[in-house]
Amino acid sequence: MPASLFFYGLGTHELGKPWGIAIATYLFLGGLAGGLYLSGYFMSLVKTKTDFSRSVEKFGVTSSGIVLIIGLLSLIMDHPNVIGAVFNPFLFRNLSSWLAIGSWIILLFLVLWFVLAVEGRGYIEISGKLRLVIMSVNAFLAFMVILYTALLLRGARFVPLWLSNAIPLLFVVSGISTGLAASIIYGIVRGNEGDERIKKADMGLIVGELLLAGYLLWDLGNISSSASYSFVRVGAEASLNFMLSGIFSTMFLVGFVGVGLILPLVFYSISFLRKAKIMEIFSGISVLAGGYIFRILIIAAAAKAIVLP
Amino acid sequence: MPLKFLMDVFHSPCIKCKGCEAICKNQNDTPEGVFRIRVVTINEGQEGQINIPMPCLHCNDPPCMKVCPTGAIYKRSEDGVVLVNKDVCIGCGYCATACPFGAPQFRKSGAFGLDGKMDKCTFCVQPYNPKDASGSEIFREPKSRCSMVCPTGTINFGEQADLAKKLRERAAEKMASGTLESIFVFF
Repeated sequence: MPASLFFYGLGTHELGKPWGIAIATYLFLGGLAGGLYLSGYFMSLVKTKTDFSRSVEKFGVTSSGIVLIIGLLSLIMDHPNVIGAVFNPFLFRNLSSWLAIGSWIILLFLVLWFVLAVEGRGYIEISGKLRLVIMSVNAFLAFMVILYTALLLRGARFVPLWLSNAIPLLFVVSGISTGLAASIIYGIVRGNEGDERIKKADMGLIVGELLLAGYLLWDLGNISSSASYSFVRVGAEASLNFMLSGIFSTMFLVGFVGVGLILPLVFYSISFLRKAKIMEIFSGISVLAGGYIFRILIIAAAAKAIVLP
Repeated sequence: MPLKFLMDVFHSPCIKCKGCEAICKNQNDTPEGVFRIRVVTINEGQEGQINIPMPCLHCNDPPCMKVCPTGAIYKRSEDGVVLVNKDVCIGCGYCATACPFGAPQFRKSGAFGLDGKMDKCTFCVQPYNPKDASGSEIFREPKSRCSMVCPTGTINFGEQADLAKKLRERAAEKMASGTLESIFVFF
């Protein structure tokens, strides 16, 4: 008898509902926070400053911590006992767990973000060189925050979808892309002329995401046909079916690929041709919606299987 | 020697009487929604339907213990029983995503509910709230009630070596009589 599907869709399986939309929100906002900080950091390194780059730099660095805190609140709302660890971070002592490692990364990120925020408001003074060092260290931590949201899932070794090598890459690219998209929206809404470099960078990331989405499907197909253990094959096949023809196919094909990837490319292309600012806002909103849908999908379409000989 | 459960659903098919669930809840006084053991039906109503009682299997290398960020999940050195320290558990649910058997249970009472700490099978060494009226911890000898009440012998409990020996003997009997079709075992 082959392995049979045991339970699927972590929001719907029959043995418990540990993670659902609140965790997807946490993962999305974690990625967005990292992306916002990195876009602000990159803008701070640009030599030819414009009004747009200055506003994006300030917005990215300032808003990243707030977005991350909102993400943590989403986690705490769903898992209220986590608040105990907020007051006593030393509870996170098992450093073989990505949740513990990630929590320390987030804590360090927020501490440096707070220092930069206080300095930005003029309460303390930091020399230019030291500020650059703090900004750079925090840029690394921001990258790690994005990566951690994917590695957290990878810790669950029996969910084949989360074990695909495409997932960390997709989370990183999507996190930076959503950060850039939010920065573009902010810059345009503030009335600045858009920066073509940012748009081009975001378009490049979106194309990268499209390729990685294809790689994810290929990888799952590969796992479902050639993995050593039948429960891995069945789990991968179930996730693949959910995304291509099952209950989450609309979410994947229309929500993530259509709204989150194809539509922003179309909007950005139109904005290049017609210089229409509204198109840049539309594309930014599409990227953000796609990023959120992607996180929900990754939680919802995760399947586990049990081995029967 | 490490203690283990053994599920022998092919040789002694589970009939889904749910006696294991009932005695577990009665013995351990678990709250509504928390099942330390649950009978799962695979391929229900189809060819190949099978019922499997699913407790914690107290793995030799527990994935839940590895991912627990606070180290609340630990393996008792004397007998290998996997337990959770509820004073340290923050109810993040990471263990539930990591466990291949769905053993970790969470009592959720909605947003801002405060009962979200993990609960799991303990081989009946701990009740749900392991403290008596005077605040002292309650610990019992390992003696899984579900295996005692299982009418078909699907759930077996004991020392790992003994269980493995019994399984080998039963498999040999079946092979000799030509009736061995498959073996399904959790260690």
